[in-house]
Amino acid sequence: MEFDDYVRQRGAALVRLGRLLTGDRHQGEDLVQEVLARAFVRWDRITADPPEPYLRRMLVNAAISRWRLASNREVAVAEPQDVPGLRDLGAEAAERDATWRLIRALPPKQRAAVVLRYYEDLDDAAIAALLNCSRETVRSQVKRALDTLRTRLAKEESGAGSVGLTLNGGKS
Amino acid sequence: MTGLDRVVTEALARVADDDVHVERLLAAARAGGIRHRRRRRVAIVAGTAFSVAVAGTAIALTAALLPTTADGMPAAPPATIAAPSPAPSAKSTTAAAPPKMTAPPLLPPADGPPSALSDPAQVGRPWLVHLGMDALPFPASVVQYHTSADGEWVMIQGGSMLTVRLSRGTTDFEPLTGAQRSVVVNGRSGTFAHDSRSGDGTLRWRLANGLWLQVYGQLDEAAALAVANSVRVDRTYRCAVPFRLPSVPAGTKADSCGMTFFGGPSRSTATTIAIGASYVKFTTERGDGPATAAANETLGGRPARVLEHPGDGGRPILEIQIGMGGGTTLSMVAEGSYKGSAVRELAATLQWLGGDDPAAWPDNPLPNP
Repeated sequence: MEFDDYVRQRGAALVRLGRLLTGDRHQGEDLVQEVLARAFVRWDRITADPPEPYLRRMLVNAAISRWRLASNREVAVAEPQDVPGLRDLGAEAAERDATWRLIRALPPKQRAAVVLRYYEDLDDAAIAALLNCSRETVRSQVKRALDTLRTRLAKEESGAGSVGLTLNGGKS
Repeated sequence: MTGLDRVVTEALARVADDDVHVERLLAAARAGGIRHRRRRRVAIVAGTAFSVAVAGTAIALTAALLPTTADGMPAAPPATIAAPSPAPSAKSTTAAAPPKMTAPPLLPPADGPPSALSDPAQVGRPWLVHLGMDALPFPASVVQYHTSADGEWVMIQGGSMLTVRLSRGTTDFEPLTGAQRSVVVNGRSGTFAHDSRSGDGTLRWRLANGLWLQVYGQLDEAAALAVANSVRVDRTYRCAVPFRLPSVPAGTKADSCGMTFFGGPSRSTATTIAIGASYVKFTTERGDGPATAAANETLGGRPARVLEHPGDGGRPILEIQIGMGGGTTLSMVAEGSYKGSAVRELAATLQWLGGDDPAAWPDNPLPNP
Protein backbone atom coordinates (compact mmCIF):
# COMPACT_ATOMS: atom_id res chain seq x y z
CA MET A 1 0.00 0.00 0.00
CA GLU A 2 1.29 3.44 -0.93
CA PHE A 3 1.91 5.97 1.85
CA ASP A 4 -0.75 8.37 0.57
CA ASP A 5 -3.35 5.61 0.35
CA TYR A 6 -2.59 4.47 3.86
CA VAL A 7 -2.89 7.96 5.35
CA ARG A 8 -6.15 8.57 3.51
CA GLN A 9 -7.57 5.28 4.76
CA ARG A 10 -6.20 5.18 8.30
CA GLY A 11 -5.00 8.69 9.09
CA ALA A 12 -8.22 9.75 10.81
CA ALA A 13 -8.18 6.67 13.04
CA LEU A 14 -4.57 7.33 14.01
CA VAL A 15 -5.36 10.94 14.85
CA ARG A 16 -8.24 9.87 17.08
CA LEU A 17 -5.98 7.41 18.84
CA GLY A 18 -3.31 10.11 19.11
CA ARG A 19 -5.77 12.49 20.75
CA LEU A 20 -6.61 9.91 23.38
CA LEU A 21 -3.02 8.88 24.03
CA THR A 22 -1.83 12.46 24.44
CA GLY A 23 -5.00 13.73 26.08
CA ASP A 24 -5.04 16.74 23.82
CA ARG A 25 -6.54 17.31 20.40
CA HIS A 26 -3.71 19.38 18.96
CA GLN A 27 -0.91 17.41 20.58
CA GLY A 28 -2.49 14.24 19.26
CA GLU A 29 -2.57 15.57 15.71
CA ASP A 30 1.00 16.83 15.98
CA LEU A 31 2.15 13.48 17.27
CA VAL A 32 0.48 11.58 14.44
CA GLN A 33 2.01 13.96 11.90
CA GLU A 34 5.42 13.36 13.43
CA VAL A 35 4.98 9.59 13.49
CA LEU A 36 3.74 9.52 9.89
CA ALA A 37 6.64 11.71 8.80
CA ARG A 38 9.09 9.24 10.34
CA ALA A 39 7.20 6.38 8.73
CA PHE A 40 7.30 8.13 5.35
CA VAL A 41 11.09 7.98 5.36
CA ARG A 42 11.10 4.19 5.66
CA TRP A 43 7.74 3.32 4.13
CA ASP A 44 9.13 0.53 1.94
CA ARG A 45 10.43 -1.25 5.00
CA ILE A 46 7.31 -0.71 7.05
CA THR A 47 5.02 -2.09 4.38
CA ALA A 48 6.94 -5.31 4.14
CA ASP A 49 4.33 -6.34 6.72
CA PRO A 50 0.89 -4.83 7.39
CA PRO A 51 1.73 -1.28 8.51
CA GLU A 52 -1.05 -0.81 11.06
CA PRO A 53 0.56 -2.54 14.08
CA TYR A 54 3.86 -0.82 13.35
CA LEU A 55 2.29 2.64 13.14
CA ARG A 56 0.21 2.08 16.25
CA ARG A 57 3.26 0.99 18.16
CA MET A 58 5.23 4.00 16.98
CA LEU A 59 2.36 6.19 18.10
CA VAL A 60 2.02 4.58 21.51
CA ASN A 61 5.77 4.74 22.13
CA ALA A 62 5.93 8.35 21.00
CA ALA A 63 2.99 9.31 23.19
CA ILE A 64 4.49 7.69 26.25
CA SER A 65 7.89 9.26 25.56
CA ARG A 66 6.36 12.69 25.05
CA TRP A 67 4.31 12.29 28.19
CA ARG A 68 7.39 11.43 30.22
CA LEU A 69 9.28 14.39 28.82
CA ALA A 70 6.43 16.71 29.69
CA SER A 71 5.62 15.17 33.04
CA ASN A 72 7.92 17.45 35.00
CA ARG A 73 6.12 20.45 33.58
CA GLU A 74 2.63 19.25 34.32
CA VAL A 75 0.83 18.94 37.61
CA ALA A 76 -0.49 15.46 38.22
CA VAL A 77 -4.12 15.39 39.24
CA ALA A 78 -3.84 13.35 42.37
CA GLU A 79 -7.12 14.40 43.91
CA PRO A 80 -9.38 15.89 41.24
CA GLN A 81 -11.40 18.84 42.34
CA ASP A 82 -15.08 19.25 41.67
CA VAL A 83 -15.89 20.70 38.30
CA PRO A 84 -17.63 24.04 38.62
CA GLY A 85 -21.02 23.99 37.08
CA LEU A 86 -21.11 20.23 36.89
CA ARG A 87 -24.61 20.13 38.22
CA ASP A 88 -25.78 22.43 35.47
CA LEU A 89 -24.51 20.35 32.61
CA GLY A 90 -26.27 17.44 31.06
CA ALA A 91 -25.65 14.47 33.25
CA GLU A 92 -24.12 12.30 30.52
CA ALA A 93 -21.85 15.03 29.22
CA ALA A 94 -20.72 15.80 32.74
CA GLU A 95 -20.04 12.15 33.35
CA ARG A 96 -17.98 11.85 30.19
CA ASP A 97 -16.06 15.02 30.91
CA ALA A 98 -15.27 13.93 34.43
CA THR A 99 -14.22 10.49 33.27
CA TRP A 100 -12.01 11.87 30.54
CA ARG A 101 -10.37 14.30 32.92
CA LEU A 102 -9.55 11.42 35.24
CA ILE A 103 -8.30 9.23 32.40
CA ARG A 104 -5.97 12.05 31.38
CA ALA A 105 -4.52 12.05 34.87
CA LEU A 106 -3.59 8.37 34.76
CA PRO A 107 0.09 7.42 34.39
CA PRO A 108 1.06 7.05 30.71
CA LYS A 109 1.16 3.28 30.46
CA GLN A 110 -2.08 2.87 32.37
CA ARG A 111 -3.78 5.40 30.15
CA ALA A 112 -2.40 3.77 27.01
CA ALA A 113 -3.66 0.39 28.21
CA VAL A 114 -7.11 1.82 28.91
CA VAL A 115 -7.29 3.59 25.54
CA LEU A 116 -6.15 0.49 23.67
CA ARG A 117 -8.60 -1.69 25.58
CA TYR A 118 -11.69 0.52 25.53
CA TYR A 119 -11.24 2.62 22.41
CA GLU A 120 -9.24 0.37 20.10
CA ASP A 121 -10.99 -2.69 21.52
CA LEU A 122 -7.75 -4.70 21.53
CA ASP A 123 -7.27 -7.86 23.55
CA ASP A 124 -4.54 -8.30 26.16
CA ALA A 125 -2.13 -9.95 23.74
CA ALA A 126 -2.37 -7.14 21.21
CA ILE A 127 -1.98 -4.49 23.90
CA ALA A 128 0.99 -6.34 25.36
CA ALA A 129 2.66 -6.37 21.95
CA LEU A 130 2.11 -2.63 21.56
CA LEU A 131 3.32 -1.77 25.04
CA ASN A 132 6.17 -4.26 24.92
CA CYS A 133 5.11 -6.00 28.10
CA SER A 134 3.41 -9.20 29.19
CA ARG A 135 -0.33 -9.84 29.14
CA GLU A 136 -0.25 -10.04 32.92
CA THR A 137 1.22 -6.55 33.02
CA VAL A 138 -1.53 -5.32 30.72
CA ARG A 139 -4.21 -6.80 32.94
CA SER A 140 -2.51 -5.27 35.96
CA GLN A 141 -2.26 -1.84 34.33
CA VAL A 142 -5.91 -1.87 33.29
CA LYS A 143 -7.06 -3.07 36.70
CA ARG A 144 -5.10 -0.40 38.52
CA ALA A 145 -6.40 2.24 36.13
CA LEU A 146 -9.99 1.15 36.62
CA ASP A 147 -9.56 0.99 40.40
CA THR A 148 -8.26 4.54 40.34
CA LEU A 149 -11.07 5.74 38.09
CA ARG A 150 -13.70 3.99 40.18
CA THR A 151 -12.41 5.51 43.39
CA ARG A 152 -12.09 9.01 41.99
CA LEU A 153 -15.41 8.96 40.16
CA ALA A 154 -17.11 7.79 43.33
CA LYS A 155 -15.48 10.65 45.18
CA GLU A 156 -16.65 13.10 42.52
CA GLU A 157 -20.10 11.60 42.65
CA SER A 158 -20.34 12.05 46.36
CA GLY A 159 -18.96 15.58 46.02
CA ALA A 160 -21.01 16.69 43.03
CA GLY A 161 -24.11 14.85 44.03
CA SER A 162 -26.12 14.96 40.89
CA VAL A 163 -23.93 13.31 38.30
CA GLY A 164 -25.76 10.12 38.99
CA LEU A 165 -23.10 7.55 38.29
CA THR A 166 -23.75 4.02 39.21
CA LEU A 167 -20.53 2.29 38.43
CA ASN A 168 -21.72 -1.24 38.92
CA GLY A 169 -24.44 -1.32 36.35
CA GLY A 170 -25.42 1.82 34.59
CA LYS A 171 -26.92 5.09 35.57
CA SER A 172 -29.31 5.59 38.38
CA MET B 1 -19.91 -4.47 30.40
CA THR B 2 -19.98 -2.79 33.78
CA GLY B 3 -21.07 0.76 34.36
CA LEU B 4 -17.46 1.85 34.58
CA ASP B 5 -16.60 0.08 31.31
CA ARG B 6 -19.45 1.90 29.61
CA VAL B 7 -18.50 5.27 31.05
CA VAL B 8 -14.87 4.88 30.00
CA THR B 9 -15.80 3.68 26.50
CA GLU B 10 -18.20 6.58 25.96
CA ALA B 11 -15.77 9.15 27.32
CA LEU B 12 -13.02 7.97 24.99
CA ALA B 13 -15.30 7.80 21.98
CA ARG B 14 -16.60 11.32 22.62
CA VAL B 15 -13.14 12.86 22.94
CA ALA B 16 -11.76 11.05 19.90
CA ASP B 17 -14.71 11.67 17.65
CA ASP B 18 -13.95 15.08 16.19
CA ASP B 19 -13.39 15.71 12.52
CA VAL B 20 -9.98 14.98 11.06
CA HIS B 21 -8.74 16.85 8.01
CA VAL B 22 -7.01 13.93 6.34
CA GLU B 23 -5.61 15.77 3.32
CA ARG B 24 -4.03 18.35 5.59
CA LEU B 25 -2.59 15.53 7.71
CA LEU B 26 -1.21 13.84 4.59
CA ALA B 27 0.41 17.03 3.30
CA ALA B 28 1.98 17.78 6.69
CA ALA B 29 3.21 14.20 7.12
CA ARG B 30 4.77 14.14 3.66
CA ALA B 31 6.46 17.50 4.16
CA GLY B 32 7.72 16.36 7.55
CA GLY B 33 8.93 13.10 6.06
CA ILE B 34 10.91 14.88 3.39
CA ARG B 35 12.48 17.10 6.06
CA HIS B 36 13.33 13.99 8.13
CA ARG B 37 14.94 12.37 5.13
CA ARG B 38 17.04 15.46 4.51
CA ARG B 39 18.13 15.66 8.14
CA ARG B 40 19.04 11.96 8.14
CA ARG B 41 21.21 12.46 5.07
CA VAL B 42 22.91 15.45 6.59
CA ALA B 43 23.51 13.54 9.80
CA ILE B 44 24.94 10.56 7.95
CA VAL B 45 27.13 12.76 5.80
CA ALA B 46 28.29 14.83 8.75
CA GLY B 47 29.20 11.71 10.69
CA THR B 48 31.09 10.21 7.82
CA ALA B 49 32.83 13.47 6.99
CA PHE B 50 34.02 13.65 10.57
CA SER B 51 35.52 10.19 10.40
CA VAL B 52 37.16 11.13 7.13
CA ALA B 53 38.64 14.24 8.70
CA VAL B 54 40.05 12.18 11.51
CA ALA B 55 41.43 9.24 9.62
CA GLY B 56 41.68 10.31 6.05
CA THR B 57 44.48 11.48 3.88
CA ALA B 58 44.23 14.06 1.16
CA ILE B 59 45.12 12.82 -2.29
CA ALA B 60 43.62 14.01 -5.57
CA LEU B 61 40.93 11.90 -7.17
CA THR B 62 42.38 9.39 -9.53
CA ALA B 63 42.21 10.18 -13.21
CA ALA B 64 40.97 6.66 -13.75
CA LEU B 65 37.51 7.94 -12.85
CA LEU B 66 37.35 10.12 -15.95
CA PRO B 67 34.28 8.89 -17.81
CA THR B 68 33.85 8.02 -21.42
CA THR B 69 30.22 7.91 -22.39
CA ALA B 70 28.56 5.24 -24.42
CA ASP B 71 26.38 7.68 -26.30
CA GLY B 72 29.24 9.75 -27.60
CA MET B 73 28.57 12.77 -25.47
CA PRO B 74 31.57 14.61 -24.17
CA ALA B 75 32.65 13.55 -20.74
CA ALA B 76 32.25 15.95 -17.89
CA PRO B 77 35.30 17.87 -16.79
CA PRO B 78 37.43 15.99 -14.30
CA ALA B 79 37.14 16.85 -10.67
CA THR B 80 39.46 19.65 -9.77
CA ILE B 81 40.66 19.23 -6.27
CA ALA B 82 42.67 21.69 -4.32
CA ALA B 83 46.25 20.77 -3.59
CA PRO B 84 46.39 18.09 -0.94
CA SER B 85 47.22 19.11 2.55
CA PRO B 86 49.78 17.15 4.53
CA ALA B 87 48.43 13.85 5.66
CA PRO B 88 47.29 14.05 9.25
CA SER B 89 48.07 11.47 11.82
CA ALA B 90 45.63 8.62 11.64
CA LYS B 91 44.48 9.26 15.18
CA SER B 92 44.71 13.02 15.12
CA THR B 93 41.63 14.81 16.28
CA THR B 94 42.86 18.11 14.90
CA ALA B 95 43.13 16.99 11.29
CA ALA B 96 42.37 19.57 8.63
CA ALA B 97 39.11 19.21 6.77
CA PRO B 98 39.40 17.59 3.33
CA PRO B 99 39.81 20.05 0.45
CA LYS B 100 36.60 21.30 -1.10
CA MET B 101 35.56 20.10 -4.53
CA THR B 102 35.19 22.74 -7.20
CA ALA B 103 33.87 20.42 -9.89
CA PRO B 104 31.49 17.47 -9.68
CA PRO B 105 33.20 14.24 -8.62
CA LEU B 106 32.91 11.63 -11.28
CA LEU B 107 31.21 8.30 -11.02
CA PRO B 108 32.52 5.44 -13.14
CA PRO B 109 30.92 5.46 -16.58
CA ALA B 110 28.42 2.81 -17.57
CA ASP B 111 29.07 1.30 -20.97
CA GLY B 112 25.98 0.11 -22.70
CA PRO B 113 22.82 1.38 -21.00
CA PRO B 114 21.12 4.29 -22.79
CA SER B 115 20.88 7.68 -21.13
CA ALA B 116 17.76 8.92 -19.38
CA LEU B 117 17.33 11.38 -22.21
CA SER B 118 16.91 8.65 -24.78
CA ASP B 119 15.05 6.24 -22.49
CA PRO B 120 13.29 7.69 -19.43
CA ALA B 121 12.48 4.19 -18.18
CA GLN B 122 16.17 3.85 -17.31
CA VAL B 123 15.68 6.12 -14.30
CA GLY B 124 15.20 4.01 -11.20
CA ARG B 125 17.26 1.07 -12.38
CA PRO B 126 19.61 -0.14 -9.70
CA TRP B 127 23.32 0.54 -10.03
CA LEU B 128 22.88 3.28 -12.65
CA VAL B 129 23.00 7.06 -12.25
CA HIS B 130 21.76 9.37 -15.00
CA LEU B 131 21.77 12.64 -13.14
CA GLY B 132 24.86 14.79 -13.47
CA MET B 133 26.00 18.39 -13.43
CA ASP B 134 28.45 20.33 -15.53
CA ALA B 135 29.58 22.40 -12.57
CA LEU B 136 29.12 22.74 -8.84
CA PRO B 137 27.30 25.89 -7.77
CA PHE B 138 29.74 26.39 -4.89
CA PRO B 139 32.84 24.65 -3.53
CA ALA B 140 31.55 21.48 -1.93
CA SER B 141 32.79 19.52 1.03
CA VAL B 142 30.36 16.68 0.30
CA VAL B 143 28.68 15.48 -2.89
CA GLN B 144 26.33 12.55 -2.61
CA TYR B 145 24.70 10.57 -5.43
CA HIS B 146 21.77 8.27 -4.79
CA THR B 147 19.62 6.08 -7.01
CA SER B 148 16.59 3.91 -6.27
CA ALA B 149 13.29 2.97 -7.86
CA ASP B 150 11.91 6.31 -6.61
CA GLY B 151 14.42 8.23 -8.72
CA GLU B 152 17.84 9.78 -8.37
CA TRP B 153 19.27 12.71 -6.49
CA VAL B 154 22.48 14.56 -6.00
CA MET B 155 23.07 16.45 -2.77
CA ILE B 156 25.79 19.07 -2.61
CA GLN B 157 26.97 20.42 0.70
CA GLY B 158 29.39 23.25 1.22
CA GLY B 159 28.66 26.60 2.73
CA SER B 160 25.10 25.82 1.74
CA MET B 161 23.18 22.71 0.81
CA LEU B 162 21.48 21.91 -2.45
CA THR B 163 19.58 18.93 -3.79
CA VAL B 164 18.89 18.07 -7.43
CA ARG B 165 16.35 15.36 -8.15
CA LEU B 166 15.41 13.33 -11.20
CA SER B 167 12.37 11.09 -11.25
CA ARG B 168 9.45 9.86 -13.31
CA GLY B 169 7.10 11.60 -10.85
CA THR B 170 7.20 14.32 -8.22
CA THR B 171 5.86 12.33 -5.29
CA ASP B 172 9.12 12.34 -3.37
CA PHE B 173 10.14 15.87 -4.28
CA GLU B 174 10.20 18.68 -1.74
CA PRO B 175 6.86 20.50 -2.03
CA LEU B 176 6.70 23.80 -3.88
CA THR B 177 6.43 26.12 -0.89
CA GLY B 178 5.89 29.87 -0.99
CA ALA B 179 5.18 32.28 -3.81
CA GLN B 180 5.31 30.61 -7.21
CA ARG B 181 6.05 31.93 -10.66
CA SER B 182 6.52 30.41 -14.10
CA VAL B 183 10.05 30.18 -15.48
CA VAL B 184 11.79 28.65 -18.48
CA VAL B 185 14.61 26.12 -18.10
CA ASN B 186 16.45 25.19 -21.26
CA GLY B 187 13.35 25.98 -23.27
CA ARG B 188 11.05 23.97 -21.01
CA SER B 189 8.45 25.58 -18.80
CA GLY B 190 8.91 25.19 -15.09
CA THR B 191 7.87 26.61 -11.74
CA PHE B 192 9.99 28.44 -9.21
CA ALA B 193 8.72 28.69 -5.64
CA HIS B 194 10.36 30.78 -2.95
CA ASP B 195 9.57 30.55 0.74
CA SER B 196 10.34 33.97 2.17
CA ARG B 197 10.35 32.65 5.75
CA SER B 198 12.93 29.90 5.24
CA GLY B 199 14.70 31.33 2.20
CA ASP B 200 14.25 27.99 0.43
CA GLY B 201 13.90 28.09 -3.32
CA THR B 202 12.49 25.22 -5.37
CA LEU B 203 12.68 25.01 -9.14
CA ARG B 204 10.79 22.22 -10.85
CA TRP B 205 10.56 21.47 -14.53
CA ARG B 206 9.72 18.62 -16.86
CA LEU B 207 11.71 17.30 -19.77
CA ALA B 208 10.13 16.58 -23.12
CA ASN B 209 10.31 12.86 -22.41
CA GLY B 210 8.23 13.21 -19.24
CA LEU B 211 10.99 13.04 -16.63
CA TRP B 212 10.81 15.55 -13.79
CA LEU B 213 13.75 17.51 -12.40
CA GLN B 214 13.95 19.70 -9.34
CA VAL B 215 16.54 21.94 -7.73
CA TYR B 216 16.06 22.75 -4.05
CA GLY B 217 18.13 24.81 -1.63
CA GLN B 218 18.74 28.28 -0.27
CA LEU B 219 18.40 29.82 -3.70
CA ASP B 220 16.83 32.81 -5.35
CA GLU B 221 15.41 32.45 -8.83
CA ALA B 222 18.58 33.40 -10.70
CA ALA B 223 20.72 31.00 -8.67
CA ALA B 224 18.21 28.17 -9.07
CA LEU B 225 18.09 28.72 -12.83
CA ALA B 226 21.88 28.70 -13.02
CA VAL B 227 21.99 25.35 -11.24
CA ALA B 228 19.18 23.99 -13.42
CA ASN B 229 21.03 24.97 -16.56
CA SER B 230 24.06 22.94 -15.45
CA VAL B 231 22.06 19.76 -14.88
CA ARG B 232 22.62 16.98 -17.41
CA VAL B 233 20.80 13.73 -18.02
CA ASP B 234 22.53 12.69 -21.25
CA ARG B 235 25.14 10.45 -19.66
CA THR B 236 25.00 7.23 -17.71
CA TYR B 237 27.24 6.32 -14.80
CA ARG B 238 27.53 3.45 -12.37
CA CYS B 239 26.80 3.50 -8.69
CA ALA B 240 29.38 1.03 -7.42
CA VAL B 241 30.32 -0.59 -4.13
CA PRO B 242 33.63 -2.23 -3.14
CA PHE B 243 32.32 -5.76 -2.62
CA ARG B 244 30.36 -8.62 -4.13
CA LEU B 245 27.63 -10.70 -2.58
CA PRO B 246 28.16 -14.02 -4.33
CA SER B 247 25.62 -15.89 -2.24
CA VAL B 248 22.27 -14.30 -1.55
CA PRO B 249 18.86 -15.79 -0.72
CA ALA B 250 16.51 -16.43 -3.66
CA GLY B 251 14.53 -13.37 -4.64
CA THR B 252 17.09 -10.85 -3.40
CA LYS B 253 16.77 -7.56 -5.28
CA ALA B 254 18.67 -4.28 -5.32
CA ASP B 255 16.79 -1.48 -3.59
CA SER B 256 19.06 1.56 -3.68
CA CYS B 257 22.65 2.63 -4.11
CA GLY B 258 24.55 5.74 -3.11
CA MET B 259 28.08 7.10 -3.33
CA THR B 260 29.37 10.01 -1.28
CA PHE B 261 32.49 12.03 -2.04
CA PHE B 262 34.36 14.18 0.47
CA GLY B 263 36.82 16.15 -1.58
CA GLY B 264 39.65 13.71 -1.15
CA PRO B 265 40.21 10.08 -1.98
CA SER B 266 37.74 9.05 0.67
CA ARG B 267 34.26 8.12 -0.29
CA SER B 268 31.56 6.13 1.32
CA THR B 269 29.06 3.87 -0.34
CA ALA B 270 25.64 2.74 0.79
CA THR B 271 23.49 0.14 -0.85
CA THR B 272 20.33 -1.60 0.26
CA ILE B 273 19.07 -4.96 -0.90
CA ALA B 274 15.60 -6.38 -0.39
CA ILE B 275 15.23 -9.99 0.64
CA GLY B 276 11.54 -10.77 0.65
CA ALA B 277 10.05 -8.62 3.40
CA SER B 278 13.38 -7.55 4.82
CA TYR B 279 16.00 -4.98 3.87
CA VAL B 280 19.72 -5.04 4.49
CA LYS B 281 21.72 -1.85 4.09
CA PHE B 282 25.48 -2.08 3.52
CA THR B 283 27.55 1.02 4.23
CA THR B 284 31.29 1.32 3.65
CA GLU B 285 33.20 4.25 5.07
CA ARG B 286 36.53 5.24 6.53
CA GLY B 287 37.19 3.77 9.92
CA ASP B 288 38.98 0.91 11.57
CA GLY B 289 35.90 -1.06 12.52
CA PRO B 290 35.10 -2.31 15.98
CA ALA B 291 37.92 -2.74 18.42
CA THR B 292 38.88 -6.35 18.93
CA ALA B 293 37.54 -6.21 22.44
CA ALA B 294 34.18 -4.96 21.14
CA ALA B 295 33.82 -7.75 18.58
CA ASN B 296 31.42 -10.38 19.80
CA GLU B 297 31.28 -12.72 16.79
CA THR B 298 33.46 -13.89 13.94
CA LEU B 299 31.88 -13.73 10.49
CA GLY B 300 33.77 -15.00 7.47
CA GLY B 301 36.92 -15.10 9.57
CA ARG B 302 36.62 -11.40 10.50
CA PRO B 303 35.90 -10.06 13.99
CA ALA B 304 32.46 -8.49 13.95
CA ARG B 305 30.37 -6.45 16.33
CA VAL B 306 26.80 -7.75 16.15
CA LEU B 307 23.98 -6.00 17.93
CA GLU B 308 20.23 -6.54 17.82
CA HIS B 309 17.89 -3.98 19.33
CA PRO B 310 14.30 -2.76 19.03
CA GLY B 311 13.87 -0.18 16.30
CA ASP B 312 11.31 2.51 15.78
CA GLY B 313 7.96 0.78 16.08
CA GLY B 314 9.43 -1.98 18.19
CA ARG B 315 10.49 -4.31 15.39
CA PRO B 316 14.05 -5.60 15.87
CA ILE B 317 17.00 -4.23 13.95
CA LEU B 318 20.21 -6.21 13.48
CA GLU B 319 23.44 -4.28 13.11
CA ILE B 320 26.79 -5.74 12.12
CA GLN B 321 30.06 -3.82 11.96
CA ILE B 322 33.26 -5.29 10.53
CA GLY B 323 36.68 -3.76 9.95
CA MET B 324 37.66 -4.68 6.40
CA GLY B 325 41.29 -3.53 6.61
CA GLY B 326 42.80 -0.59 4.83
CA GLY B 327 40.98 1.76 7.15
CA THR B 328 37.51 0.89 5.92
CA THR B 329 34.54 -0.27 7.93
CA LEU B 330 31.59 -2.22 6.60
CA SER B 331 28.31 -1.72 8.44
CA MET B 332 25.19 -3.74 7.83
CA VAL B 333 21.73 -2.90 9.14
CA ALA B 334 18.87 -5.37 8.69
CA GLU B 335 15.26 -4.33 9.14
CA GLY B 336 11.88 -5.90 8.51
CA SER B 337 11.22 -9.62 8.68
CA TYR B 338 14.84 -10.64 8.40
CA LYS B 339 16.42 -13.89 9.49
CA GLY B 340 19.47 -13.23 11.61
CA SER B 341 21.20 -16.33 10.26
CA ALA B 342 20.70 -15.15 6.67
CA VAL B 343 22.10 -11.71 7.44
CA ARG B 344 25.12 -13.23 9.16
CA GLU B 345 25.60 -15.49 6.15
CA LEU B 346 25.65 -12.44 3.89
CA ALA B 347 28.38 -10.91 6.04
CA ALA B 348 30.34 -14.15 6.16
CA THR B 349 30.30 -14.76 2.40
CA LEU B 350 30.72 -11.12 1.33
CA GLN B 351 33.68 -10.82 -1.04
CA TRP B 352 35.58 -7.64 -0.19
CA LEU B 353 37.30 -5.84 -3.07
CA GLY B 354 38.28 -2.59 -1.41
CA GLY B 355 40.55 -0.13 -3.12
CA ASP B 356 40.03 3.50 -4.02
CA ASP B 357 38.96 3.09 -7.62
CA PRO B 358 35.20 2.67 -8.14
CA ALA B 359 35.86 1.85 -11.80
CA ALA B 360 37.33 -1.43 -10.59
CA TRP B 361 34.24 -2.29 -8.59
CA PRO B 362 31.59 -4.57 -10.11
CA ASP B 363 28.69 -3.41 -12.28
CA ASN B 364 26.41 -5.29 -9.94
CA PRO B 365 27.47 -6.79 -6.59
CA LEU B 366 24.62 -9.28 -6.71
CA PRO B 367 24.95 -12.55 -8.59
CA ASN B 368 21.70 -11.99 -10.47
CA PRO B 369 21.50 -9.49 -13.38
